[in-house]
Amino acid sequence: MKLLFNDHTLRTLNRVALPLVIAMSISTAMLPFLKSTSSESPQIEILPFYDLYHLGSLFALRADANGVSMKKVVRDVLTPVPHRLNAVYSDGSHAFIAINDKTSTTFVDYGTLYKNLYRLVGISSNSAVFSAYGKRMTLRLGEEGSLSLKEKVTTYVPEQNAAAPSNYVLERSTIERYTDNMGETWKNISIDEVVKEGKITGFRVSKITEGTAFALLGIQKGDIITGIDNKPLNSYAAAFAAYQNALRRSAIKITVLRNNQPKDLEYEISR
Amino acid sequence: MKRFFSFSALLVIGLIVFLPKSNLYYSAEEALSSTHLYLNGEEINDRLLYLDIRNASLLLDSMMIGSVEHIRFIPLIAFNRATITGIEFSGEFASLFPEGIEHVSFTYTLLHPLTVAITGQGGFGPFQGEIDLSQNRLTLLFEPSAVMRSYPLLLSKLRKSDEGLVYETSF
Repeated sequence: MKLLFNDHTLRTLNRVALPLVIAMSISTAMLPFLKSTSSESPQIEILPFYDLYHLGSLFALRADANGVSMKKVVRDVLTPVPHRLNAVYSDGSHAFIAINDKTSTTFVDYGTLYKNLYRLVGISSNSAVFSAYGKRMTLRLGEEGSLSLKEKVTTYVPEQNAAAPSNYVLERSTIERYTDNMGETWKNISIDEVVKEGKITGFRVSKITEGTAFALLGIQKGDIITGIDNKPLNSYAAAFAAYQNALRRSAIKITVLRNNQPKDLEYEISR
Repeated sequence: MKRFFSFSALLVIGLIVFLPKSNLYYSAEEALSSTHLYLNGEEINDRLLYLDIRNASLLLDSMMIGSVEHIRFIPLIAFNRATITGIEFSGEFASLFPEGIEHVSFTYTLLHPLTVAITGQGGFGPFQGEIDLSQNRLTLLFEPSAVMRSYPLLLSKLRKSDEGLVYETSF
């Protein structure tokens, strides 16, 4: 009987196949230690700042712990209500969207009110813009998003903050000057992130030039900026979003930690 | 000896070909996410000897800050290189970031097992540097130029040295 493989052929095959099999085995063995799917960016999660920040003070824990007298404060807070923009339709003369609030899908015509509260003021091929409470809220097609709902929230804050919040009037031209000329901004103020357990908890003011707009506005060296407009400042994205939105606002509230005490700096932006 | 070399050569070629390049990229992507940076919407092509990634959106957390035209990973075991070309930042961040980075290369070789060499060219000029893997430190050296004045945020993070402007950070 003729052999299909002689010794020489088998040895050659072995020499070629063995290293390739070993290589394939090593590669396969690596797989359990590697990720098999792509990392997607997180959706913007807007949480009511006071729910986060004053969670302890809701139960007057700070007062018990530090002997600080607390005062009850009822404020309007915008809380996010999850929504999803399912479809955008437009035929040139007529445009409407399909929006889902986790329980039902509603069709909303351009320019009309949704839930008697949110007016649909803009439609593009991949987004819809609602207006309510003087704010604009954008939903992106096929993505989870949220519309803000105004709610009354009861919180307890240290007496000194509740009794004497710091209010300032900020000229819009001042903001424009600093946002247009970032060089001037970075000459007058330096901000470093504060990281605890690998997460950004705020931005510390490490330098502030005396006599500049920043100093006159009540920000002090050593302050840790922890929130803007009741939203926690816990990422660069949040900081950039605040930077982007500054000019569109009529008022801004900056929450800082000063000597481990929260303090609200409120600014009215004049036109 | 000849057999040993041919065996080794085939083993290395086999490792390069069978290396799970996409999974390695996903793992690198996960490591990058710890710095709040994400690449979304990219097209991934696993080639025989390298991995190509095209048209990725660059996000800082959930905020779109730019796009990346092309990334090529060449994992040759002893010599590994990732070349990123066509990084463009969104116009609204023009005062914070450079408009774009033409290309940046990260090279890791077994000759220098504790460092990753970096070279690149951006709107602010050429730069080079290294990642010290033993000390988890990134160092970048920029050439001082008039164009740098347009990027105050970048300038605020740099210190002057004899060789140029240095950016250093630990991770």
